[in-house]
Amino acid sequence: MTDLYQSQRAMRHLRHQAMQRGVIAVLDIGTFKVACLILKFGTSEDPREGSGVGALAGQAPFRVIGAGTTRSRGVRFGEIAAMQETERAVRTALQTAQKMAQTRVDHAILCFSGGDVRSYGLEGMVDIAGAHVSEDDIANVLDACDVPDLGNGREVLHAQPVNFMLDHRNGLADPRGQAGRRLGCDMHLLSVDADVVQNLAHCLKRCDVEVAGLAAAPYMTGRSALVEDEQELGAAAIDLGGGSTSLSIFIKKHMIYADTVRLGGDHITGDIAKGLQIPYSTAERIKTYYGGLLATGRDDREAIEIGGDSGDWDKDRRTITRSELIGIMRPRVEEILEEVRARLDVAGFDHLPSQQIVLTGGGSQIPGLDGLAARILGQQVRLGRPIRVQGLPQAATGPAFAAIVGLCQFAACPQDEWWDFDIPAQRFAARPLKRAMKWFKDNW
Amino acid sequence: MSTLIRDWPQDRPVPSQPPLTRCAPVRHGTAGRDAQARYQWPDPIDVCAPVSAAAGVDARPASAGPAHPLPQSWPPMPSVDFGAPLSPQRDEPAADRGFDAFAAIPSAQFTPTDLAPPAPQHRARRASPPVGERLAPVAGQGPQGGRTLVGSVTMPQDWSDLPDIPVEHQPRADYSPSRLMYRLNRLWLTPVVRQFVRVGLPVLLIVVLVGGYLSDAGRRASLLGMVTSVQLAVENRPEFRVESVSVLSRSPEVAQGVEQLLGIQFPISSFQLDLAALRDTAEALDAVQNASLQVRSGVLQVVIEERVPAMIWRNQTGLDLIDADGHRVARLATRAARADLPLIAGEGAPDAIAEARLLWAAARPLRDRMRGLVRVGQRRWDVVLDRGQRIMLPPNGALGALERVIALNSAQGLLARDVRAVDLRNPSRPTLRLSTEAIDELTRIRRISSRG
Repeated sequence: MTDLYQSQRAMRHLRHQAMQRGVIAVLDIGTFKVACLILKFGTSEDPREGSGVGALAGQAPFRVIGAGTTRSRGVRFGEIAAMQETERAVRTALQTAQKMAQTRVDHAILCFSGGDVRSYGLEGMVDIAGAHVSEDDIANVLDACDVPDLGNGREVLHAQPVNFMLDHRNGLADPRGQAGRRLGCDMHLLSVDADVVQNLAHCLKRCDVEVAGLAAAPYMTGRSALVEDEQELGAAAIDLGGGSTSLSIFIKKHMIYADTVRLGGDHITGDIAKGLQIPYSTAERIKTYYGGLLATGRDDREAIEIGGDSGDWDKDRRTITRSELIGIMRPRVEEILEEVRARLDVAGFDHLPSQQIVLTGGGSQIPGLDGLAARILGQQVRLGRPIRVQGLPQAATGPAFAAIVGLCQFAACPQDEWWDFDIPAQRFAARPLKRAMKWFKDNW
Repeated sequence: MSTLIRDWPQDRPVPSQPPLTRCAPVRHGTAGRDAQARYQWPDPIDVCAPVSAAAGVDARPASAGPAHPLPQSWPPMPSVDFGAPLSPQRDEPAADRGFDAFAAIPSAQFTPTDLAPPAPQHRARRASPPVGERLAPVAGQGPQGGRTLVGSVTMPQDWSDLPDIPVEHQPRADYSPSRLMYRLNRLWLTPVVRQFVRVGLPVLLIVVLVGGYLSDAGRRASLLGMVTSVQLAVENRPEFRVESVSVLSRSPEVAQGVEQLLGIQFPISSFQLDLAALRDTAEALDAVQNASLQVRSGVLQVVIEERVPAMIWRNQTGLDLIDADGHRVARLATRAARADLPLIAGEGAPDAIAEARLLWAAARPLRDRMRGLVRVGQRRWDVVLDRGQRIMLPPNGALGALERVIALNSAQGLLARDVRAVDLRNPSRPTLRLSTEAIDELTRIRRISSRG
């Protein structure tokens, strides 16, 4: 774990470096699309009057100056399946964004939904050294959290302190400077398959871009699609992506659970393609144009040309009705949502004070999804779009861009993570002088 | 279909050709029948199979193009030539043809008039038909040379009339940038490189090219010669030619003097006229106070503003006219030539001409007796009257002193007496200098009065 700790620290350093330079790229490698935004920091002019963009916390000081989106290739379930193809897609997106921004970027923050993220809740307790809680105490208590066995080849992607306890008081957001004796901490740890991360990093390295940060797509979706009170009171953001559906639960502005279901819009498309025996691209088009989840009487009469390119007249002029299409799509969507429901149940979503569910991601644009989701997930369901940030092109404001917009915010104001605090002196030999001082203090 | 089988001549040998791999559409399944039902019966396609096994098939190449689509309308258009003779098949003797599809099947007489395939095109199997596909034209066949099968029916048809089957749309090549292009693009977006390419490189290129061209002395000289010749050609245009000079002045002497002074050889290009220098030259003449030069329609116009002489200055060389500013105007031959002007003398007199003018104006009562003003020691004035009388004025307050003298004169007739000089150089101690005779007379009078 020390390796990743170090690499995360190194990435944070790179991020600071990029911020000082003023330009950083955020990159979302998804199953359906690869999106890239280029952010310019330090442009703190007020948002245009009437643009609807408010001076929200953490989003004022940056502006999107370049955007590029391309069809994703060689990605399955949010993980790289064909490195060369993915590299081409990343190159395309990066180059488009760079051309639009008229600048080159050397650092990129990356988010992805694959890698089978798993959530762990950790807790630690430590006696504080002085009368008041200091940074070192927080580092100590974070260090005292007992890390479970993550499994073979898994690494920590996020490790965020979500709650602090000081003596008998619970629910402290920031205990620094407070008086007390015993400091406790709840930490949310998100583990991810290390190979997936390494593949992504290698892919970016082949594009001459340094990875300045890693983030899980469910976390990013929650940050952009949930409004502030939802994040405070408890809500789940469900990102219906192309290859996987990710969900994250937020309370008190901290992510406390994240998971992914390896089912997504591509599976719906695959069902249509297989059921109607049409090419995949046609299925995608039909799904996008005519897809739905609630059939009405009118849908029986609406004929959809599904076409074909076989040269066979009959095969090329098949038509289906919209209700047939809905009949194919609905079971798969139900399956996805029920799988999400199961994950939410496992996470104990029922016990949250507010059980708002926000559906976002490209798959959330299926008409009738909110009605179906309300039946399966609960009544408090809404369709979410990402928060508006300055300079974002209109084409990139849809729900499919929830993760990358969240990544913009993550780049602008990251939450505290484990590696933002200094390494405890007694644990790591990086500070021999401090250790020597401590030894002197203890022994003399 | 049953009709065909029933009419099949029993004695006809079964053709030895292999069965077609790609026949015109044979409808067996229910789906096919449903499709046909849209067009009701008579359907040429329905009779396809037996024919393809027997008569007309030979003409149809094994790898023929796609089957023709269904007719757009039924019944067929009347432009079909039903009486067109059928030519014998290419590799089958005419005697073998015991069956005429046209006679046998009414529905087979359909000829689609428009042979262009409908919009969603069939897959193009080949770009051009193979050698065996195109039929050799038969003599006497008419313009519709060959014959082919349309919907399994032999038809006179020239294949060259058929439009080319559109090539299937090829999916675009990989649109993602190659690594090289990606890196070049990033390089191009690097500010230093970009600045160098956009500014530094052109400047460098121009400097190198120009420097390389000019490094040879001969080329430099030829370039210079070319520039000079162009310059001369432009300067010598008739539009820029100046033919003469006209000097406008109050007195013709000055005009002539200026014209001589300018000394321009006409004709001359107006580019070679340095008007500022010419003006300086003209103004170098003392009589000229101000000269304005203008080239107007080939004539150099010089307008001279002359100095107006205000006084005459007698100096060591002679008499000079000077204007009100004390500047020399011209030489004067005799005093009588300008008797109206006051005369001043002495070194540095023109520098104090303003005071002299004041004094001259103040001395109006003595005007008929005045000879002139003399500047003494470049600091004070003497008023010289006739009979050798002088009024010696102080350096400061000369005007007041003169007025005192004039007042004395008007009151007591001071200057009418035998006074050589009225000395007011020290204003607190005015002194009269009498002539010798007057002194003697004064002494005699005093002696008489003292004696008496």
